[in-house]
Amino acid sequence: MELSLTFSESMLGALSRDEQMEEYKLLFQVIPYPILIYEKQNQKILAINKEAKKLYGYSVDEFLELSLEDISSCKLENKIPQLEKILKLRKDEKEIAVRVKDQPIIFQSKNAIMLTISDLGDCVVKVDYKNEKENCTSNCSLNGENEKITEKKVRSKIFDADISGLIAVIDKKGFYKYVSGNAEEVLGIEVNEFIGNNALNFIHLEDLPKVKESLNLINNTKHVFIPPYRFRDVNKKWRWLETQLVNDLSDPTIQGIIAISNDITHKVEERLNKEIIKSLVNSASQTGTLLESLNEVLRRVLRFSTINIAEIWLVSEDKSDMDLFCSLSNEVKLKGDFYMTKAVNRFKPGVGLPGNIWMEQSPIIWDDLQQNQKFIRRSNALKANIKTGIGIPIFYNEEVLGCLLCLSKYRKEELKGQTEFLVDIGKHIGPVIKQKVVEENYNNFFNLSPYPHCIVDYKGVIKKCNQSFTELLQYPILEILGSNIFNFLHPDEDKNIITRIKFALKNKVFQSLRTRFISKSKEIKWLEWNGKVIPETKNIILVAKDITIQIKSEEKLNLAYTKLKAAQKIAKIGYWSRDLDSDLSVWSEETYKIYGKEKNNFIPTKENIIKAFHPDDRHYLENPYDKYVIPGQNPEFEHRIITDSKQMRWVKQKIKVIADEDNTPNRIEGIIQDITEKKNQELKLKLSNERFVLAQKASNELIWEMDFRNKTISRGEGYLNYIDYNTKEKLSINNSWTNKIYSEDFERVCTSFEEILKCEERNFWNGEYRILNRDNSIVYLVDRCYILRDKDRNPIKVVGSVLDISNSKRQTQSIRKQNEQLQEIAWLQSHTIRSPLSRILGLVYLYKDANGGEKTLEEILDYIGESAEELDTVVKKIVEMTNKFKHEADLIDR
Amino acid sequence: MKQILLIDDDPITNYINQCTIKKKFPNTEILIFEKSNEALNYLERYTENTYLIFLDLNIPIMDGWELLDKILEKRNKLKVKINILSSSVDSADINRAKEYKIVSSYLIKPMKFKDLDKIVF
Repeated sequence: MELSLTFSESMLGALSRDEQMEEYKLLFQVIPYPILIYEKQNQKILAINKEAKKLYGYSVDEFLELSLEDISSCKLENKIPQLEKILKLRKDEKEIAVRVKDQPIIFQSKNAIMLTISDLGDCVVKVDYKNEKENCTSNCSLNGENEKITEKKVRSKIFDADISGLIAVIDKKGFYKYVSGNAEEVLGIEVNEFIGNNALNFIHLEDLPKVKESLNLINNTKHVFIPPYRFRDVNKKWRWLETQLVNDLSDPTIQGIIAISNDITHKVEERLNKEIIKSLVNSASQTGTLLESLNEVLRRVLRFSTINIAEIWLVSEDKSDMDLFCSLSNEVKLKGDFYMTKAVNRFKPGVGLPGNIWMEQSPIIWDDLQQNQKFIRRSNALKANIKTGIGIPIFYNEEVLGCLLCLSKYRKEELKGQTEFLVDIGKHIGPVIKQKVVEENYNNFFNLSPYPHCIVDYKGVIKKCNQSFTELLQYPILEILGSNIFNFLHPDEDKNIITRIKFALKNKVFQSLRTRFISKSKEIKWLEWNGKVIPETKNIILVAKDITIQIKSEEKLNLAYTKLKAAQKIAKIGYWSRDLDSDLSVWSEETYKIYGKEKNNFIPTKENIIKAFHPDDRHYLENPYDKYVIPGQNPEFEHRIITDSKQMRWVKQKIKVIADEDNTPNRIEGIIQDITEKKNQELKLKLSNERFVLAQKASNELIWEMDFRNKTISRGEGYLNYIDYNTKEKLSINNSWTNKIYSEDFERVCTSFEEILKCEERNFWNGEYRILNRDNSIVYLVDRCYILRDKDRNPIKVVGSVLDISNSKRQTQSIRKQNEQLQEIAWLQSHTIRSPLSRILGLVYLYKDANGGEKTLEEILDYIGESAEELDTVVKKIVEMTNKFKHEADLIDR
Repeated sequence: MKQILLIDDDPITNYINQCTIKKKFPNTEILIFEKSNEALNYLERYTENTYLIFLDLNIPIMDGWELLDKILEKRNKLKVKINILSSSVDSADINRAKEYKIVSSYLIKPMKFKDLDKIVF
């Protein structure tokens, strides 16, 4: 096949120049024929492709140091195309026969020659340009029956073609007529095996159609190319060949179809492997989690190789161990046998096969695992009949991520061809694993984060969100994804906030902001948002912090502070504080009010505060009062202050000392309360009490008090001089006082008192009783009291007074007696005096009106005389009684 | 039969009163009792008569008040019209007398002719 380096314009015409150059470079490298470019003038090698590198064994850098002559066994003459050359390999000085084809080009702005090289294989043919003599050495064997068709004849027919590999001549039906001597070398099959045999018998069933088609075509045309097909070698393995057919049926020397086949097994396998790996990597990249992804890798490893158990081990986060991440087997029983025996999931560096791979960072093959002392799981291998272990390190850049461990029942020799495939897998899955690990870490972080996360596009549509987000809004995820984030904003949300969000989405610049969201259950959620624009995906990542509790706490705090301020105002309590090393205090609003100062006009320095104190109380500040300042103690004191309006006020201050960690006081704070009113009340009370005490002393009453809470009775001392009682004792019905009550009065008094106590509506009691004094004489008392009750109408306190009315009683009795006497006198006056008097008057009237009636004047006069004497007697009696009464009255007065 | 009873322990007073009453009621028999119980017995005995009684309060043994109480007990049987005639000017006695429905008037001794102007018998 003639290598063409020209590509159709339709292929490259749409590409830019740079893109075309990249395409050329790619093709230059991937062409399966060695190519080198050398400068025409000095024959310095300018470029080589991979195949050339492989063929000669030099590295690129080494090649670029050479000229063409260095790798030629004879001098090249310019512009001699298609000459057979003998060129040597530097490493082993081996000479190989190649056919070259050169093409002038411009390369790196220089006149250059592009040399296409066809390796003629082990068949070394020396070319003597002078003699033009062909000399075929080594193993070109010619079948005796094919002497007519010689290599020479055949080669002369394919002079223009590239030759490598096997040359054969077949008839129309595909039967071999001639096979070149290198058949055994190429395919391991002796020439004899071919002759008379049909080529189609060696071909893979799947490839037969295209080969047959080519055979049909060649009958009517000169050249046909059979694309790669599988050909069975001596070991019954399939080798990939590509064949060029040349129709020489009409040539009397050939009378057949020349088939020139190249063994491209390696290339095809390489390509297939590459495709497999590419497909594997693609699939692994797209498959979900890391585990799923790596399981997919292992599945393909098992599918495309003769590995029986595949494992992936990954280095732990802390780089201390390598852990078994996943494993797969193509036989369930095998896997069971291997893992049931002994489970080992972790290795340190240098221990076991994974540990050794990790340490050496290169592929390792261990055979005879069942006996290999370094293979920790020997017993597992024995159980499962595993013989060989291949370990491939997985890299990402230069970091070892882990290793791919492949275990097989086959021996090492049987697995030779698969090592490279596995190594390639190891090379390519590194980035995938890394990406998946990062993805998984990211997803875990995203999903497990306690903060709501979401990703929105530039229009605000939610693309992704985590569980915290759904839980916050209480919507199922399906209702959230695809919805616009504005749908979840509180309907009363400030328009400014909405504008800011829209601005952020539009301009892809996100600044922290607070919003209210409304959940499905209509709960308001306060969120503080931060976001980052991701230009590559045209999304914005939003992370929120639920600050609902914080906002509520702030509101409560504000409310509490407002209430505190109000309370301080109502209670007239102010707050102040001062650093001990500072002269300046910090006052609350209420403190200013208490001092009667204006905040704008007064600076609370120590000096100014002293001036605000009453002159008699300045000692509290002027003395080094800091000595009172002891952490843990909260001293308090009352003092007077003078306001700006010259008003005196009483205040109470309570101080607290704040200490640092070393218990050194560094700050002082306190509260100040206006107690002027209270102080005035105290003063009034004090005066009232004093008056009361004086009044009590002046009066003849005994004040007593019953305290039901403290269960005590207390009495004044007024009657102690003649009645024995306790001034303070336990509350009891029988006490030092009641025990003195006259026996006839005791029950009456106690009963009536108790009845009043029990009666919730009554708050007053009074009673009169007698008490025995010290010398057992009777004292008359009037006792009365007021009852103080609580909200349940239970008595709390009873305050009463007792008055000794003995004197009054005696006086009353005396007065009563006097009244009786007076009544008697009055009666006497009314009855006894008037009786004779009325008689006298009657007699006088009788005489005047009736001339005495039947009585004479003398009789009348006698009667009058008797009555007058009676009257006189009565008057005397009255005088006597009056004198007696007056005497008794004098006695009472005294 | 109508009769006037004078109940007083003082004969002089009785005489005076008798003379005065006779001028007003010349045709009516006047009986004098110096003891309350005797007057009561008479009344109880002769319940068919209608009596105009002038009663003193200060009578020994059974005073005028007691007699009034006795008469009151029997007021359904007796036809009496009682006038207290006492020397007492004590308002207590006067007020007490008003409480007796059988007492028509309270006269202060000595009886005067004009005191009888209002009395109808």
